[in-house]
Amino acid sequence: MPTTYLYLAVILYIIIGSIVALMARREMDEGVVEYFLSGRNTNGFVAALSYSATTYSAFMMVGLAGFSYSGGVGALGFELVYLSGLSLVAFFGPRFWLIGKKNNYVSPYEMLGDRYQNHWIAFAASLSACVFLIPYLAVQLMGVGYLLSGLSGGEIPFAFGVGIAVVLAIAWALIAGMKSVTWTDSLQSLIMILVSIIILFYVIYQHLGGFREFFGSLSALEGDVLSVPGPGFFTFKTFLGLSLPWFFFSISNPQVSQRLFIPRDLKAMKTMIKGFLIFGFIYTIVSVIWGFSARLLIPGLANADLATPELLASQYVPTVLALVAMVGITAAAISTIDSIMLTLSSLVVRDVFKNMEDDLNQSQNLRQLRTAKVVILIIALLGFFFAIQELDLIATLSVAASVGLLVVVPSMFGAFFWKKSTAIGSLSSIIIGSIIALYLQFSGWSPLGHGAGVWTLLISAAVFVLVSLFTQPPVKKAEEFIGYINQECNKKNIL
Amino acid sequence: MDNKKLKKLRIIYAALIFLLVIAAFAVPYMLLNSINLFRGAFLFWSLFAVIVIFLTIKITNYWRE
Repeated sequence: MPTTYLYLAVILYIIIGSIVALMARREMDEGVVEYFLSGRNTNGFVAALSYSATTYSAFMMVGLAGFSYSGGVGALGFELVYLSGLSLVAFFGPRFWLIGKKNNYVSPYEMLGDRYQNHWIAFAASLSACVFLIPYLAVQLMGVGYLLSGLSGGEIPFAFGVGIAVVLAIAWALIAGMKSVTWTDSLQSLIMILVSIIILFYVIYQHLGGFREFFGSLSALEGDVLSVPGPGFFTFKTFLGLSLPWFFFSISNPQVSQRLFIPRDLKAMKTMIKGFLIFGFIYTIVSVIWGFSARLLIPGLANADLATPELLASQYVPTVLALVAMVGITAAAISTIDSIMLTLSSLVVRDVFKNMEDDLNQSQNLRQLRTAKVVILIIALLGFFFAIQELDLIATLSVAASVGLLVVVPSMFGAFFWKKSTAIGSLSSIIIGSIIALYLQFSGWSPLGHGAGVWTLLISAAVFVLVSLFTQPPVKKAEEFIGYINQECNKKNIL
Repeated sequence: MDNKKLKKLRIIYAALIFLLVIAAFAVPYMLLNSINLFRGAFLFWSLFAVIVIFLTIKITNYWRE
């Protein structure tokens, strides 16, 4: 593909995205809550699109398509089990929102620290999030680098793509914090979904004879791609090990759970959940079918992650469509990166440096915001540095992210539903769980054939329950926290 | 809505979703593993997701400001 076209498409995307980010700045008020949570005043439509863009990264059209290419229909099951995990938000979402508003929480881990009356919980969870999410962020940056370099036949250097992605993510996170992130996310999610649907329909009807013939051709392929375990990758244990951690994504990943604080009201949260579920269902089906199309049109690739770039660069996709697809995938990556940077900076400012005063005066607000901006730059530089090194370690840590972040799940359940859960129970489950996740991921050891995700969840849950049974809970806070939520849930018909 | 009814609904919806998720793991591997067609695992998982989405939206429809 001509490099000039690629540069033009990227420049157009940068200009439009930056205009939206600057428009968000004009609407921005002052203060920490405004910066990190857009003043808890986001409408349902923007919240839905932003939640979708943050959750779905370049993984969908590249990684998931690659999984479908090599592993068959198991990839669809894995991603739809993840989507079904969003049902958790119907229970946790309004509870997060209610208590966040009452106690002025900015980060989900700050909420845990306060609920269990132990700041070290917020500190440990935030540290663990940094360890797992910065490599995840680096992999997204690498995705943009590979995509641009692959589509230009190597003419656009890998580091250039990484650099562009990091600069845009920094800019769109700094311009107006959560407001510019949600606004640019909304634009980007619309690009992601529209572009992916258009190129899919084009390829299916232009080259594969429509959907009926498409599924017929898939059935006829060697390797039983339409059943599990199919070609062999998705054995039951692999499927379980991948899907289980992802089922809890909505409450385990701070960049996503923090979004439960931002809707304007319950109606906006309802719209956010509905919108995301519909978006997620369509985007999942499209990404999987896209991977299957690549399998039919360009079979025999040694590296399945190249299925999407190779199909886009092939004669089956016209240049204009390939260009918009490239923008769509870049948008998916950047919308995830800037959200992670913003959330990690809020974790560092609020939970690591312990700045959680409720009523901040103007100079405290300014100081926290200054620190947040410096932290965003440091996280971005770390991400950039990791990405350009192209280390295997980064890929391993990135895969470990969905596993490592699971360690807060038992504490989340306990915080809302178990008055007898304790700070020591929470802290020990987070620390032991993180060590288990890292050890199993790096050693490659799978006890009884089950992956790190299964063991991390089981062990951190067991530690949480057992230690809580033998230690003293923060009775007064638990009564106040859960009591308030129950009272409001009863008033508002929240299940 | 009174407290008892709310609690009952909470348990019913949570149980339904739990059973569906168990089915999403069990059915394609145990019952549909020999059907290499669209109407096998592909259709099953798609319907599973649609039903969970429907139930989730139903839960949010109970909410009142």
